[in-house]
Amino acid sequence: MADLLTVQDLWIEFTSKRGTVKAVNGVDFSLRKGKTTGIVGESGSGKSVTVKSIAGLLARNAKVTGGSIDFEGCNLLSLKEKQIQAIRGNKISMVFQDPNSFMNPTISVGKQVMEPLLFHSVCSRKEAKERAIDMLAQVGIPSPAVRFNEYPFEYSGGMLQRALIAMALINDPTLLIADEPTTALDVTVQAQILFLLKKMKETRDMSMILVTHDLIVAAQICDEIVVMYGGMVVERAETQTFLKRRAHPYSIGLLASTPRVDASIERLKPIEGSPPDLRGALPQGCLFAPRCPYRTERCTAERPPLQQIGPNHQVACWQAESEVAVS
Amino acid sequence: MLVYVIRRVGYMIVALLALTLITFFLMKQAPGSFLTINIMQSGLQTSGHSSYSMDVLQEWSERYHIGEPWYMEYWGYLKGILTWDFGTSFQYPNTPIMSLLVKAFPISLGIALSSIILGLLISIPVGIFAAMRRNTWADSGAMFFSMLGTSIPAYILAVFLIMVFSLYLHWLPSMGWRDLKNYVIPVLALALPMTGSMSRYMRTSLVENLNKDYATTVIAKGGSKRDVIYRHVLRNSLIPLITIIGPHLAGMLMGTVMIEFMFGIPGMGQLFNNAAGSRDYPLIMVSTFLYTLVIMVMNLLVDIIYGLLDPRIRRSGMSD
Repeated sequence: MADLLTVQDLWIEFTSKRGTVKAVNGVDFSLRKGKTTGIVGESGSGKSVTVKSIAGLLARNAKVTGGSIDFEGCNLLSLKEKQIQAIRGNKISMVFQDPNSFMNPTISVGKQVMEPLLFHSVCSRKEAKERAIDMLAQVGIPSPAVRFNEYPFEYSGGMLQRALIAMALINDPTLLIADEPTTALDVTVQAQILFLLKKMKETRDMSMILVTHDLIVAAQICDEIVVMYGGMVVERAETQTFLKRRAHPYSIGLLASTPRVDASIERLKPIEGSPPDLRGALPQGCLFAPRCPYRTERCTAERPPLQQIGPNHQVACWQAESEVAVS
Repeated sequence: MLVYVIRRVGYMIVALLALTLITFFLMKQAPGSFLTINIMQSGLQTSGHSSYSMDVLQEWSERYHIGEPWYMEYWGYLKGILTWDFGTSFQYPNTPIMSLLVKAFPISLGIALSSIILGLLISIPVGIFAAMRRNTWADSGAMFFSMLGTSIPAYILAVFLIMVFSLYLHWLPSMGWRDLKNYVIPVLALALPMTGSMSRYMRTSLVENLNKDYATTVIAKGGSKRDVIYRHVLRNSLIPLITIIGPHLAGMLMGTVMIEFMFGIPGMGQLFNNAAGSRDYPLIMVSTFLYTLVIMVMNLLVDIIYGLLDPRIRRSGMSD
């Protein structure tokens, strides 16, 4: 199937008073039409910055220093502000982390949900209201006509996230980017929202990128998993392959440090050390090397490229092949 | 909402009663009286007050219970205010206080309100201008001038404006009160210092809201920078601005006293100043009462507008 989105060799820097932070360092990945890709990593791994650059929502002090983002045949990074504005909220929509802070507290939820229709002059105000109410019903908000007029503070967190999803979907986007959509929610509500996202993706002609720090969440609804570390992709595989044959020491460590309900009680294995400092020049070798139990001399001297080690399975590790052989 | 307004009006009545009492005591404590200052010193005839007939003196004596305990005298004033029958003042025994007020009050309120409105009309756009170009030279420039505005008091600015517009350019009269031209310098002198702090406040409030997550959402939905400001951020930034308009208005009414004095404007400021200087008790009581009433009503209006702009207060804060 054709690729809807291709990110190639993307580099992003932040300039701050304390120097330059290299947040994204040569990220490659692609998203096939109708599929869901999960981008997984710790905070500071550059996952959120990567997806924000797709929607052109980078902070003012961030700068893309290289690479391309191809979406439906055009490079998003070469577009003018007006052109990208026509795509945002229309073909590419975003769902954010904390619904309480991403909704305007003084405007009714309904009015905010119908805004994408008005910004892109899709229909009249009256029709937009009808469509917004219909959309609220689709995402599972009871008595949507009443709740249309209510304000964010009158919604619960889960309901508000549903409304945010309705807002993102109202223009039938081809790509939905969900940036940690469940992190700020209660555990019970998390599952409902994930299920809703999955259902919404399946019932319409849409692809999705799910950004999360939780591998289990990604494994539940994604077709493909991209693991990021230090602003780089360290492993990329289809979900089933990833679960069976994950090969990067960081991916292995990430899953081992996640609590599981089904397994017998054993000690969680945290990954020792802390994420790399991305200020200033990057080290020559693999960024994960200082924390890696399989480290060799080559790892600190030379950075491993992303290599194909199986069908639809790429890993950036010198030891990957030998490890796969072991496991 | 209605319950809230009724409760607020209740507080206002209590506060006004307390205020009349305090004014009454301060007024009585001030050395001298109308008689000692105006009549005993120069004599009834020579001061031109030939109209103090026995009838007038008799009426005052009855109305204000002169010679009786203080609470009876206080009651005399209070009754006048409560029944909205203000009587006549000591200085102008033949003109009802009401007709003095009808002449002077609109002038002062007009100056104060037009200064506030002009101040808002200048500071809101300046705030938006600076916030949209935050951390650029345009922003710093606008904020520098606003700081300059804040640090110059109204009466100094008034002198400066007179020098420029009256002395050098001969565009506007330097004082007096005949037509609309007389309005310009006093209103500018009061409004400009105010724009300093208000545009700064506006800018800070806008920048704070622009940095909030919900502003990102608007962009993510396909909105433009203008959509972010005019549909979302401006309204939320006005909410804190409105809270400072109340105190500004109080300051404005006090500011007019000085400006009226400088420009010889026959407004409440002058009326009150003369009344206080000559211990014209009835006029002091009534004009103090009126000043306070206006400030309180304005503050109430500000709070109601505040509630209308913020649904969180409209739906919860005002009903409890």
